[in-house]
Amino acid sequence: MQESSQNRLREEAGKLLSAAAVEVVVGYGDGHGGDGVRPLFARTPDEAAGLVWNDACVHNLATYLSREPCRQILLRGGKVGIVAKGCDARALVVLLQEGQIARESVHVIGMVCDGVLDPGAAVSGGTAGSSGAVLPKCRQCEVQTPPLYDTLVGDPAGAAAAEGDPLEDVKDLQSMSLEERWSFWTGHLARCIKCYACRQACPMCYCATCITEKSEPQWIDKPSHLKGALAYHLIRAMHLAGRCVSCGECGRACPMDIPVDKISRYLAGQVEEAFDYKAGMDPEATPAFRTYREDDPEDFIR
Amino acid sequence: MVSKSDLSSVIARAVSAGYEVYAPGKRNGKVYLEKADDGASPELDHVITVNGVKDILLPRCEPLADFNLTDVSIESIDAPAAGRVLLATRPCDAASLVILDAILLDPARDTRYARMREETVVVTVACSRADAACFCTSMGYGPHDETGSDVILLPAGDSYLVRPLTEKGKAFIGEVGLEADAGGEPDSPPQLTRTVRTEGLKAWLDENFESEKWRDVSINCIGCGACYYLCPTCHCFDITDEAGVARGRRYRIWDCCSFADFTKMAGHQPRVGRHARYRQRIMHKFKYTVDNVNLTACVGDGRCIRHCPVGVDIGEILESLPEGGAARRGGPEPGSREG
Repeated sequence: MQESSQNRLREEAGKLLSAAAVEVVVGYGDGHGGDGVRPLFARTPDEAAGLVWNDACVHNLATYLSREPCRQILLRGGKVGIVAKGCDARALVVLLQEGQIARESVHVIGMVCDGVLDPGAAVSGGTAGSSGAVLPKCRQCEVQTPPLYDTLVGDPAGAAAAEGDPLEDVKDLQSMSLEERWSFWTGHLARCIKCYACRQACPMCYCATCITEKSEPQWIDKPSHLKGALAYHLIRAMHLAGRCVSCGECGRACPMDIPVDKISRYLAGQVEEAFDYKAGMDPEATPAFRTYREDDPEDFIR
Repeated sequence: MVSKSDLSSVIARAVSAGYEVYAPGKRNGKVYLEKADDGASPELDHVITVNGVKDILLPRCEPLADFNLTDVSIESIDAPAAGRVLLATRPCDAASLVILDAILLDPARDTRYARMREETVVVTVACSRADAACFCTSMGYGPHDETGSDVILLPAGDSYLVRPLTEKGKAFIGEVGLEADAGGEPDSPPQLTRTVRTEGLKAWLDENFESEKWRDVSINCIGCGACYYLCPTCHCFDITDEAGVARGRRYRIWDCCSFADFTKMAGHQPRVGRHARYRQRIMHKFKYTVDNVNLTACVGDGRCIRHCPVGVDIGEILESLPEGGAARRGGPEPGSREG
């Protein structure tokens, strides 16, 4: 099924490029030496033949829309094609809602996805996903079929159904006391080297200048001591509340093995609980922080 | 000879001899070089730690001085003087120190690094295996290379042959009760699967500061600092103050050319665009350092390849740059936003 999806993907991307309907298709290609998978920018029909679709396609490519060359193409009114799994398409929905992309300037090739493999095993030199286990987020996936697409590749009826609670793995945080949570996070964040891989991998972190880069005044302590790391991760958490689509890319990108994604996913759970809103599920919905209701809960304000 | 299982008692003896010991330790299946307590037993079966030895000798966040604006006083904070031992580092990490020495000790002397370095014993455990990212042999080193080590432990079955290489190393093995092995046959070094061809690279870099290839090779890069901060030879830093109304502290912190505010000065950003920043990374390692100290600032440890979240592969890029002269295609125009 993956192979037929891959053929279909190549065909669709090739058609878009030959018809000059898009200037580039951002998708996945083979890693160096055929090892694993990495992002591929296909600009010609020939290059589209190098696109791959398999269970190592873990990256959320939506982060590239705010970067060169996509950003420049979009700014001058050009069109970009992008390959998106369900979780990636949720990010595209938020980017649309927030006015970062125009609907007509992006051609979304949505992929019906059964889950991608946990690339953790690649670190010791194996191929991506050689552990054979799907990422935890995939076991609880609610968007095997992307919530937004122009072309759908794969059979929605054939997708495996979600099991369990998408926020299952942040439940352990909920059950901790305040002190336990503090020690959990300070223990992790003390190791943060401030490489900002979490921010850069995040499709929602598209600010032209991150507040961490503002030096007049210096709002956020630059050093990677605990105070500086906490300041950065807390402000990122606040910026992502109600916007995080739980793609988990921040956690995957972290070289220090800090479960960064748990922070924003925890907040996603809080927003869902308080406002019954999940970011990126419905392009027609109004985001939680853009609505006001008389009966909005406020008991979380303490 | 020292048996593998006895390395934990070497840690214990080094700790009781007053050394701060740093050794590989496992966390969530990944291995990091970290401070080892008395009683710790080092990881030995990994390929290489996630972090490099610069983590210890050129720390990511170093307080330099406290200042007080009320009485206009400055109190400098010295680098820690205690002797430390980097136990069970890999040969590429030890070699990275020789490169850092060449850059940081002469002619301008980084006194903090110098002090830390003088007080540090490097005890290397030669490699028993390599992974697909390792390319040390292409950079002139190897799985059993001695560059930069004070002592090298060469695997021989379940034990290591102990080879002190410097006076510091001889003194250290004496202190922890290890005996030098003059003879003995170590296991043969692992065969690397990766070769990175660098013929013509320097000549190409000399001529191609402006090339469309820079956009091509950096297109996947998302502009984070993971490869820079894990790299054992990247050494750029920033100085930053944390100031309250009356008092403050000055720090030296890691910085890197991947970031938009790197070397940004009043009214001028010298590297606009990700390609310009990635170019700086390659130029610094494979041209500027060669021009300045006649060393390539890369030891082939492969961390940047292993840990890049988007599969950027420096070996592939180094090989592709001099190939075929011009770029494969024209790149996009430069834009205002970069990150």
